Amino acid sequence: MRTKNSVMAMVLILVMLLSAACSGTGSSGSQKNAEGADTMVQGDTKGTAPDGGANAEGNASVSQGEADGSQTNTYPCVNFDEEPYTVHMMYMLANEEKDTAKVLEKINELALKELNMKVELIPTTIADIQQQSQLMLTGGEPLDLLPVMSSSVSGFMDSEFLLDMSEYIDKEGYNTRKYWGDYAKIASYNGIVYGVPMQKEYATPVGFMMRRDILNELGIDIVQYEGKGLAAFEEVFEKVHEKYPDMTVIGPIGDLFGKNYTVDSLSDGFGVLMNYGQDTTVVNYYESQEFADICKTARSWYEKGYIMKDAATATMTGTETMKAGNLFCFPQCINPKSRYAVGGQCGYEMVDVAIWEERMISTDTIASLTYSIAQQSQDPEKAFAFLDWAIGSAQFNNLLIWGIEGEHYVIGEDGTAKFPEGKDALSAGYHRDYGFASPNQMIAELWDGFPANTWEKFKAFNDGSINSKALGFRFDASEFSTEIAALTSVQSEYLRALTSGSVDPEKELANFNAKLKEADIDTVISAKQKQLDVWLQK
Amino acid sequence: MKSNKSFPVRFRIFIHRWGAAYLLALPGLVYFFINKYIPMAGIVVAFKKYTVKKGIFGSDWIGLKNFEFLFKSEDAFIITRNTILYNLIFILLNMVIGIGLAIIISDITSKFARKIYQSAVLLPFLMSIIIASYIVYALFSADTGMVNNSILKAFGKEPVSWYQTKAAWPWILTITNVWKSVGYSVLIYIAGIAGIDKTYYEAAKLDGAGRWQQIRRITVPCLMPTIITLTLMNIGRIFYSDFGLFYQVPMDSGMLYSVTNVIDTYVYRALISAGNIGMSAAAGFYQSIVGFILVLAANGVVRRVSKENAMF
Repeated sequence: MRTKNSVMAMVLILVMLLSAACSGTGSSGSQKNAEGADTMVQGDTKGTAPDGGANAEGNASVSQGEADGSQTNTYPCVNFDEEPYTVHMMYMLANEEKDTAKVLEKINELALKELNMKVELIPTTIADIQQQSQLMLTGGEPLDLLPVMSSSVSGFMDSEFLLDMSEYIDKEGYNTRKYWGDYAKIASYNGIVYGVPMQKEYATPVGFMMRRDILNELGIDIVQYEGKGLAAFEEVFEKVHEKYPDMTVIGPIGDLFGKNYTVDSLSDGFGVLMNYGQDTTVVNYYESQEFADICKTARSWYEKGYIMKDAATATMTGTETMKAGNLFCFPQCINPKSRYAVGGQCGYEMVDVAIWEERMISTDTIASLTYSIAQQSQDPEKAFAFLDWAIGSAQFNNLLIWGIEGEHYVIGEDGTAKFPEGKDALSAGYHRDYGFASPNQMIAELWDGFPANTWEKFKAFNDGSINSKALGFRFDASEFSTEIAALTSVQSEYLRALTSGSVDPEKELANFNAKLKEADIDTVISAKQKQLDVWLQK
Repeated sequence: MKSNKSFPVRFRIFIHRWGAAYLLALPGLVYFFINKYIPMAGIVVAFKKYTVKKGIFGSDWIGLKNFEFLFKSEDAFIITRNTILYNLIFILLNMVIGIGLAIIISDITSKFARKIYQSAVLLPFLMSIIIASYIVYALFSADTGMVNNSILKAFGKEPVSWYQTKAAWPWILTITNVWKSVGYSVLIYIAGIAGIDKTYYEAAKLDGAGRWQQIRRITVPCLMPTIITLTLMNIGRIFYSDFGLFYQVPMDSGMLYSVTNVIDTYVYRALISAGNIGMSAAAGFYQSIVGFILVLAANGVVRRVSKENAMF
């Protein structure tokens, strides 16, 4: 009996262990990531640039003379006699679309005709990208091109997962150089160009997305608050709270007040350049007066009941909470099309209003998402050629983002893309709508409802931003992985709670800084300073 | 003793006697070899600066550097303490409550009712920890939670932001764990009780033993092997704490880390962004070593108390 029992116990325990391990780690990881990345999605999902028809914008003159979009163009230097190389390309999407196979077939046709290559697309979601790319890179599965988030770069580069693209950009980066100009090699780490950024806004300022109907009702002219800093919005929130005492005024905050949008966070936020990166002395942002003020403002809002009580732990995104109703506004990274995109997703007319005066372009904001070449690529040169072709091909980007013309979308009279008669996002069969995670959304079609000058606005938005003094610099953290790991754990303990006002900064801010000191933030800061000084001299 | 026989002869006798048993064990042994022993070679990664190109064995040695981050701050102490204390409490409560419930359920005469109770206790165990975490959230959410809105309000008390209140969480986590996992030990103990010879009880009754005496003198001693095996296995897993419970249920709230951080969640948080394979391996290695020591120690104690019940 004893043996029988223990055998049964063993089996059961094994099952329990396995199931606990699977359910635990898998979902928690994705939940966390999904939340962090969502702000990006909200801001960038809709809209692309017209090609051919309404090509009014200045920045993206259509490549290779694809005036009517149907004409084929072979890419320079293609050898059509050899066996076509198959590129394995990972791409991001919200969820798997029904007609993906059909679209893939069309993309293959196009690539074979213009480039003599085939392509295998590997789907991944924003929630899984970190884990999935890590697995594929470690496991050595066939992979050529993959999207890489700025936050993964130092880890991937320390493990030598990504290949240097510098030489390819110089020699064969026709479209990369054309669309990126001086910024073609901005995504570099320790002298290695690890990727080409996706075309989107260069700066990622944080703002509030507010409901226009409530602003109008209360007669608030929101423009006068724009760029006046966080505390200036108190008046607005007070009025809203007075009128709608049961409404949540400010929705999920995430780390948006805490992430350093007025400073260049130099990849991890441990040691930053103040004043939109105009200072060249690396300092601890969490000890600055600016950060203390943000925590204080957030705390007073929390106590007055403007900020939702569960803000520090909320897993629903701002858009989701807004859609569920009873919310006035939430913070997120804004760009010229966020109000249209978010408005469409939440079902309210939205206004975006920037919190801080300036927009800053830093290495992290411009290269927040890049396409990189995996170390196991069988033919990195071909992989790069494919990426460069994709950056210049309107047809490729249209297929990837909107699907097949006539089947998944049609071009309306005003030149924008819309769903075919009687179809919507769910029934269309393919509507990926991830422009920001495509090689070049700005040469693809613009979706219905977006102003025709959207991409001009993007250009103005980028031009009106200020460049951090450290634009192009990236901290080489390989010697400090121990410190960074310890600091990250301290940061996750305090940052959200402080910037959502959930805890009293009088007490906890000092604790936070004491723990950062204990985890050797000063070592990281001085190392950053040293590397930056060397970089600035060049 | 058998030295007068040559090796081939001994071997043939051995095969003849035990061959069938070894053949039967073969699939299990192969499984263990592939899944448990081969990966052990990967432990070297914990002492290396791993890069894909150089591979597991080609990467450069860096000694104990990967372990440093674990001991960088007082966190190492906190997470080790949390891991051990929580698990000891969980093991103890699951045992006591599990045996108690098992005895009660075994005493129910209606077969139908017994099945109902048994399933009801087991149900939370089958539930995903994500769902469990949202049940806890429905109770303790500061804005919409039942505790704040119904219970505290009824008593005229101020609402509490539970997810920022450290003192409450050792209780919440312990209760959640017992509620969720006790059903599983109940199941095993019921099986154990069913295996006890009924004649013992009849004899005890004839001798005038009361219900309590029967439990103390018959049920618990007969369950001892089961209890010891289960406890030993649980102790061996102490360092693989229930990740979902400590990560999902507190909703990853930063302010609660000092009472909810265990080694698994610490490693997960520290490495999810950096993705450093060497450090992950180092943390895994640390877990295994301490777990191994605990199993040896626990087994040592058992061997002292009752030798026949020790595993080795």
